[in-house]
Amino acid sequence: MMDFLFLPDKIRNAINNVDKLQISEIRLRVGFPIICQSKTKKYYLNNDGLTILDGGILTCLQEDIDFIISKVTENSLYAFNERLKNGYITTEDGIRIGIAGECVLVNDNVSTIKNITSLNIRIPNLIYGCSDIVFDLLFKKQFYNTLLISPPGFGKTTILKDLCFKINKQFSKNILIIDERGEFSQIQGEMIDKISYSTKYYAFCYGIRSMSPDLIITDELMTKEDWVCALSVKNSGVNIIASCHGESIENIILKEFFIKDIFDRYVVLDSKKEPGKIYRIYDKNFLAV
Amino acid sequence: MNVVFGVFSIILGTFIGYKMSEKYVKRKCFYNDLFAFNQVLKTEVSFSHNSIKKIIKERKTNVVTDYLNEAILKENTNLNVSFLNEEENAFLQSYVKSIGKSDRESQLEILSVYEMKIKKKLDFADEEFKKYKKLYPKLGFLIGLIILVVLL
Repeated sequence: MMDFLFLPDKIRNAINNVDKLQISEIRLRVGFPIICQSKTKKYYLNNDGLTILDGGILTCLQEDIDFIISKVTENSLYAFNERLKNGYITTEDGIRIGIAGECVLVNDNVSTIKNITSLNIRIPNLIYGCSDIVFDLLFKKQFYNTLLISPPGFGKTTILKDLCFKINKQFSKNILIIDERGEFSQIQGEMIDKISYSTKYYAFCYGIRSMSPDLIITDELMTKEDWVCALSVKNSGVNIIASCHGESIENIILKEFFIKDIFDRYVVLDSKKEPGKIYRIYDKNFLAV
Repeated sequence: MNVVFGVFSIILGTFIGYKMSEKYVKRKCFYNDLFAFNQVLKTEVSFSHNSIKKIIKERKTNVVTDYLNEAILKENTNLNVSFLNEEENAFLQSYVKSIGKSDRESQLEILSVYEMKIKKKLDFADEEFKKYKKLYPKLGFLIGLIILVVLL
C-alpha cells in the first residue's frame, strides 16, 4: 500500500482520489501543470483526481519539489547524494523518482544536482501473475539465461519482480537481486538476497564471491561494463535474468556493447500494446521460438 | 515562631537559589549532548550515510534529540528551548536549518564549523556552570540567614 507521504498535501489529496493502477508516472515540472501519465494517455491532476480538461488543474511550485526532495531524503541530502547524482532517488516503498536540475561538476564529474526543477515519480506495480507466460516457457522445464527487452515503462521491471516471487516459490535456487535503484525493495523471500544501490560491477563481483548465487536477476543492462559483467556471470556458471532498453531484437543486436553469448532467450515486449504483453521470444541465434 | 520562619527562609532561599542554578546545569548538559550529536552526525556523514531520522532514533533520548525530533522531523520551526536565551535559540535554529541540506563534502564542512561554534558555547556554558552552580544556592542561603538574623 503506497501512501505517498512524501508528497505535499495538495498533491497527495488529489492522488488519493486516483486509481493508482491507472497511472504509471506523475510528472512535476516547476511552473507547469502536474501530469499523470498512463501508458497511452496524459492526464492533468486536479483536486478531485485526474482530468483532461484545463480548469482547476494543479500546478507544480518550486516549494513542492523542495518538499518532496526533503521528505524522500529524510532531510539528509548527504545520505542520498550518490543516488541523486545518478539522477534518481528511491522512496522506502520502492517508488523511483527521477530528477532533473543543474548538475554541479567537480573535476568533470557530477558531484551533485542542485536547483531541481523536474521530477518523474514512477509508480511501481506489483502485478502477481504477469510473468506467467515467460515463466512457463522459459523456466519451468529448463532454466534459460533470459533478457527482457522493451522501451522504458513497458513492464520489464514488473515482470522481473514477479519472476523473483515465482522462482523463489517453485525452485530451491539462491537468487541474488542486483538492485541498483532500490526498485526491488518490496521483493523478499527465503531464497532471495539483495544488493541495493551499488554499481553493477561491484554487485556482480562481490555478489558472486560472497553470496554464491544460483541465479542473478538484475534490471537494465545499460553500459558495456554491465554487459561484460553479465558475461562473467554466465561464465561463472550462474544463471542470469536481466532487462535492457530497446524496441526490438535488431535494436539490441546493433548496440555497440551487445555481447552475443550471454543469453539463451530474448523476450521482446510489445511496445505498441499495453505494458507487459510479449511480442516475441527469440533463441540465442535470434530466431523466433 | 520567628526562628521557625527564619529557618524556613533559609530553606526557601537555598531552594530558590538551587532552582536558579539549574538552568546552568541544563545548559551545560544540552551543549554537551549537542556537541556529541554533531560529532556522531559527522561520522555518519563520512561513513555510514545514515539519515538524520535514523541517527536521532538510535541515540539515547535527551533534550537535544527531542528538540531535533520536533524541529527537523516534525518540522516545528518555531521551537525554543526554555533554558537558552534568544541568541542561543537562534543559533540552534540556524543549526537545524543547516544540517542535512547539502551534499557530503559541504555537509562535513558545515558540521566542522558548527563543531567549533558548539565547543565555544559549551566552554562558555561550562564557565557559567562553575560560576553560578554554587553561587545561587549560597546566595539564597545567605538571604535566608539575613532574614533569620533580622527576625531574631
